[in-house]
Amino acid sequence: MALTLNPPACHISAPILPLISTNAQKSSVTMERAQLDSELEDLHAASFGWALACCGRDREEAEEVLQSAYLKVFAGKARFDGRSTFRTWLFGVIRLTAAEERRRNIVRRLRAAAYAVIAPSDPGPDPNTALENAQRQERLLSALGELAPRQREVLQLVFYHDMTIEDAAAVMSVSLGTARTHYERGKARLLEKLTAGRP
Amino acid sequence: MISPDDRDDAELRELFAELRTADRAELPRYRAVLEQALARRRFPDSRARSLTVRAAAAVVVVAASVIGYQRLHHDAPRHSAPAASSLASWKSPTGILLHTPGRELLREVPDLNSSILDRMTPTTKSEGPGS
Repeated sequence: MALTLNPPACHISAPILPLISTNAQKSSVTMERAQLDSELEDLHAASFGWALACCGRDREEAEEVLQSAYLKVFAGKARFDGRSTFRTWLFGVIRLTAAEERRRNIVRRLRAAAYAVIAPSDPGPDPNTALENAQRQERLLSALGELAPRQREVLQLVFYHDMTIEDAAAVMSVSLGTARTHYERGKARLLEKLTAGRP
Repeated sequence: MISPDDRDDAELRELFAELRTADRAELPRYRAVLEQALARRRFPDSRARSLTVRAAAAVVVVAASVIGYQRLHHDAPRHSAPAASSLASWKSPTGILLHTPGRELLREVPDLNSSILDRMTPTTKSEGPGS
């Protein structure tokens, strides 16, 4: 019996092989750029969420990382080769870009240490619900902040982005076994922290 | 029947979904991010310049610290040498009181075949009022 893995929620049906830029024809390059633009726009919200996770929830830094990642994609410095889904590949690019930005800006890295501190969200129509949500988020972020970076990454990819552990492993450039270990240990620790922090 | 593991997963998914909703509320527009990226590519100088200025400032601070440190440590022996010699040659004004009369006798082993008066005579002579 052949087993097939469930594709991630935002799986792009056909690999975008033509995105490997060849300057053969101007018209095809224009079309490729348009297609690329469309794919990036579709994934923009998820990319922003992932960039936030990679930048210790620093919104400004996450935006800069996204800018750099988009530039890399458009300039052809990062090329999609169709070996994974476009989203998995893009997330890998964002992760590496975030690591580069962090190396460049050590001051920001120190600021990002305040992982658990988040800006209060828009209270909305019901202040009580909003406050409760904000507290739950703060608890989650605080618990996440206490995990090892790899554990945090794999949990973010699986639970926030609905990725399989296999896809998460591809984004993180680790083996499936390693990703699974980080996932199991991270999940157990996160639940422990959340339970401990519960009133 | 729902296993505890499934329940935990569902709880985590719910928490992350709330976080995702909150993040979406702060989501910058795709076009705006792209435009900023392109602007950054067109005018990379300001960032590079700021990095250069920071690097230069850091070099100046490090150089000043090194020079200051060296001066401090090179000057220290120069100041300390005369101080050490003056300290070594210092004499107490009341030190004379420690010189007891006849202390020379106590420094040497007594000789059984000679008189102590013989040894003291020259001193007595030279110090006497008639000399």
